[in-house]
This record gives sequence, C-alpha cells and structure tokens, in this order.
Amino acid sequence: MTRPLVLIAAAVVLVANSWAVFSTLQNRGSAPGGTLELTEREVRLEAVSDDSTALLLGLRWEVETAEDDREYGAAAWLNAAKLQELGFDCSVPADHPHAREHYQSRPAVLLYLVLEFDGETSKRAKPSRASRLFAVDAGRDAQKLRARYPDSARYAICRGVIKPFLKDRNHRENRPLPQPRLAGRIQDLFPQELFVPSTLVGTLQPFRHAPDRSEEKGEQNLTPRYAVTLSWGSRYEPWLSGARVMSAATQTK
Amino acid sequence: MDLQQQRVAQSRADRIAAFRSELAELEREQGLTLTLEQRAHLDAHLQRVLTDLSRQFGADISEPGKRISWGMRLVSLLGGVAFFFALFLFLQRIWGGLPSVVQVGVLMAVPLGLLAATSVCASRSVASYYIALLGAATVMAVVLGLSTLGRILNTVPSPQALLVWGAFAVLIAYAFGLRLLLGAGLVLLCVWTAAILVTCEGFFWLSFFDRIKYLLPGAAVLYAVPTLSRGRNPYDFDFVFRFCGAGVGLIALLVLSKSADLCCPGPSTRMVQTLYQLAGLALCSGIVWHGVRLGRNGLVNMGATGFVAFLFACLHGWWWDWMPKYLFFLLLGLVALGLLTVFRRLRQRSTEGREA
Repeated sequence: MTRPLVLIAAAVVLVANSWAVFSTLQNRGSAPGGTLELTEREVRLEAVSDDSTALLLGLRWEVETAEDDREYGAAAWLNAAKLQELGFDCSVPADHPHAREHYQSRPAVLLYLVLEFDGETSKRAKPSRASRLFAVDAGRDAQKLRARYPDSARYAICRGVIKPFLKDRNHRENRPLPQPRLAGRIQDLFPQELFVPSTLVGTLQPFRHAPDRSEEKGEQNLTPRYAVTLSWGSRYEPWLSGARVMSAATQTK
Repeated sequence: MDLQQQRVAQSRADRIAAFRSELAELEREQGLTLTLEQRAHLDAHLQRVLTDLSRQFGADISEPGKRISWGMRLVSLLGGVAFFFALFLFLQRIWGGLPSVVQVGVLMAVPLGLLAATSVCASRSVASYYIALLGAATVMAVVLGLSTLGRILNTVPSPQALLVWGAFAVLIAYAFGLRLLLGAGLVLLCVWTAAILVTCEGFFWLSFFDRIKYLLPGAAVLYAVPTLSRGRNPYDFDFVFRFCGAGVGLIALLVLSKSADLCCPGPSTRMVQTLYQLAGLALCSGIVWHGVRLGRNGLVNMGATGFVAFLFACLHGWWWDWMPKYLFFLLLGLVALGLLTVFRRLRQRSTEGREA
C-alpha cells in the first residue's frame, strides 16, 4: 500500500508545480494587462538578508483620497455607487443602526484594478507622494476596463482586493460623523513584491546595498537610478521583462 | 517492518516493564507469592519476549536504553532542523544567480528527493521517529517549494495550494502511518473547503476568517469519517480525524460566538452570539461524553477545555458589561466550585458503578 501512495504523492507535487509553470507561460504569452516602464520611485528594491542573492522589487502604488479620508485609506472614487457597481451588497443605508456591523462583516472581493502611471491623478496629488503609480478604477471585467482605458503604456490592469467599510467617525477629532457614509479601500494588490529574474539581477544588484537616499532628501525628491519594464499578462499577473540603469540625462524627478 | 508493528512492540515492552514493577510491589506487600520455579519460568519468558521485541522491532527494553533513545531523538531533531536550514540558506545564497528553469527544477527536486529518502528509510526498517522526522521535512519542503514557486512567478495567491499541501500531507501520513502529518493535512483540507465556499459566495478566498462558519461543514465531515469508515482506518487514525474535526469545529464556534456572523437575517447580534455559545457548550458536552464512551482522553480533555472556554464566553457576554469586575470574578470562582462538585459526584457515581 505504501508504494502506490508514495507515487501518488510524488505525482501531486509534479502536477501542482507543472500547473503553476504552465499557467505562468500562458499568462506571459501576451500582455493585455499593459506594459509600463516604472522607475525607482514606483519599484524599490526590498531589504533581504545579506545571505540571499535573490532580489525583490516592492511595488509602490498610491490611491487618491479625499482630505478627511486619509486616515481611513479610502479611495476617493470608491463611493457607494461604485461599490454597488462592483457587486457589493450596499442595501443597508449608511445611517441604519446595524450598518456598521453589516459592512464590517462583508469580506473583501478580488477584482481587477486599473493602475495609472504618471497621469492626471499623480499630477493632482500632493507632491509628497513619491510614486506616480495610482490605482484609479476597478471592475469585475478586465476587458471592459481595457476598453475604458485603452492606452496600455499608461494604464495597467492587475488583480487587487477591495473591502467596503462604513465611515462613521472622525478619528482625528474622536467624534461620530453627523452623516455616515459608505466607502471602500484597496486592501491589497497582487503581487505586492516582484521577483527579479536572474537575467536582470546583474543590472539591479549594484543598487541593492546602496543607501536609500529618500530618507535624507524626502520621498518626493528621490532621483530614480534605475527603471524596469513591467508587463501584465493574460491572467493579469505581472513579470519583469527589462531593467536599465538611468543615466544622469534620463533621470527624471 | 511496519511502523504500526514498531509501535505495538514498544507498547508491549512498556507493559512488561510496568508488570514487572507491579509484581515486585505485590511480592513486597505479600499480595502475591510465586514459587521460585514459577518466578524463574516467568522471568525467562519475559526476557525472551523482550529480546525478541528488541531484535525484531528495535523496541527499547530498559529504562537507560529508553532515556538514551530520547536523547538520540532530540539530537536527531536538532540535526535535522540544522540540515534543513543549511539547505535553505545555501539555496538562498545561490538563488539570485540561478536561471528560472533551474529554480523550478530545484523546487520540484527537493521535496521529491526527501520523499524518496523517507520511502527508502521506511523500507529499511528505520525507527518510526526518524520516518516521522523525514516525513515532516518532506511536507515542509512541499509547502515552502510551492510558496516560493508562486513568489518567483509573481502569481496571485490561490486556495488550490491548500488542497495540494493538505492532500500531500494526508497521502504521506497514510503511506507511513504518521498521525501528526495526518492532523496537519486534515486541518489544511478543512481550511481549503472553507476557502472554496467563500469563493463560491463571491469573496476573496483569504477572507475566510470573516466567514469562519464555513469551517463547520469540513469539521463535521472529519468527525464523521471514523463512523462512516467503520474502523477501516489504519494506525489509530480514527482518533486523529475526530480530534481535528472537534478542534476545528470548536474554534470556529468560539470565534462565531464573538463575531456573531449571521447565518440568516433577523435575530439580533446578541441573540446569535448566545445561540453560538449554547451550541458550543452542547457540542463540548457531546465531545466529552463521546470521548468517555470511546475511552479517549484526548477527546475528553478537548471537550472539557472547550466547555470552560465557552462557559467563560457566555458569562463574559452576559455579565461583564454591567457587573462590578470583582463580582464577576467571584461568580466565576463560584461556578468553578459548582462544576468541581458536579465532577466529584460523577466520579463517585462511576466508581460505585464499577464496584457494583
């Protein structure tokens, strides 16, 4: 009995790993999610232990928030109407006594998010934001989103998780709001960290141990030293297809 | 040699040691006196049995031998962990320079290599402890391997990874008779069913913590498996199924008794919390009763611990907000004393029943 079970267990490992590789190859066959060239302002080398030679790039993205929503991290465009459009159950009015419990118990939903690079939103945003990559829209259908944002060199479509919540308190002043309202926040964007393939490690390795200058100069004054090309495939999962060192002439603020 | 045979052999060697000790005590108290001939015959027989158990199944037949075996197990555990870390850190050191194809190959080869090593050791009658250690390392390698593969391929987390890990752990457990891995695999499969049910409802699978009620169907199935399989499970696995089912079910109910996740619209949050708390108390009592019936201390202890936790949750929900804190704890102490009286009466009744 042991031998067949061991063989089945080995087959489980082989099939699971092969399926993951096959899905990735399928994903990378085309890039309907878009292709962006992002700089150090949007993708930062993450701290990994000195013993590791692997490189990870952390994706820095922002979302436009209303002034009084900063503490909630609520996206300005994720209002009750938008949440309803995304399929959330918004049937309980925001001023209903059970509204807080109702919306607190709503789990998050995996959706498609639109990331805008160096567009109107980043120009409107305060200069303290280093990243010019903004989550500007969400939807259940990636193709419809692409039709709405056809410029695949400026707008990328990726997977992210959105959760609704009830904004009923002003935390700064610690008092209930006279008019509670429904809002939504982007809880996660997948993947938050990007693995750098061995073909690009050589380009980015010199910046791994270089000091992070954003601390001294402020995030907004960071002069990017490298740029990477990021594509989102048919499953809207990203991969790094290129990296280059930015010369003084091409460095932009 | 079968691992179950090793366990049975060690269990018999332990029973013989206990029997010899009790026999010596009885002889000292003159409760039993054997003739010299009977004693010599008994000693020779027991020695013969112990020698056979040691030779055939590697059972520890003496106290010093047993202590040394435990020392060896501890050292081998530390050594195993050290080897695992050495491999992990070595791979981390060279990882960045490896082409993607080689990375994928390594992530597949390590668990398969460990699986082959476990299989070879099992076929060569290595002691069950070492097989368990290798089996655990194999499952760990599968979990780490698939997670790392997802990371290097930048994929969106998938609930199917839970299915792969759970199924693999259960297969390894059945192949080599490993109870701990069976428990781990069953819990993973239970979480997978919850994740799938959450996905079917339209939510992200990692949100299953917000829909913890979906753990209950899987827990119920686990608890029912031994009854459905009618004792066809090997190696005392029935207990593991029941223990995992009861554990997952009680944890889910305990969380629900606080979060009051509504199964249907209508009743107030407080009422739903109370209903879950009462259901939890009833379930704990049922588990204790079933554990006593089956003669399983593990189930009895779990049911009793759960009962105390639910009782505390109930009393906290009813009294904490309006009662002075000192009075709350005083009442809690009185409830504990009342329970002790009930348990003492139960024990007395069961002793009387046995004597009758």
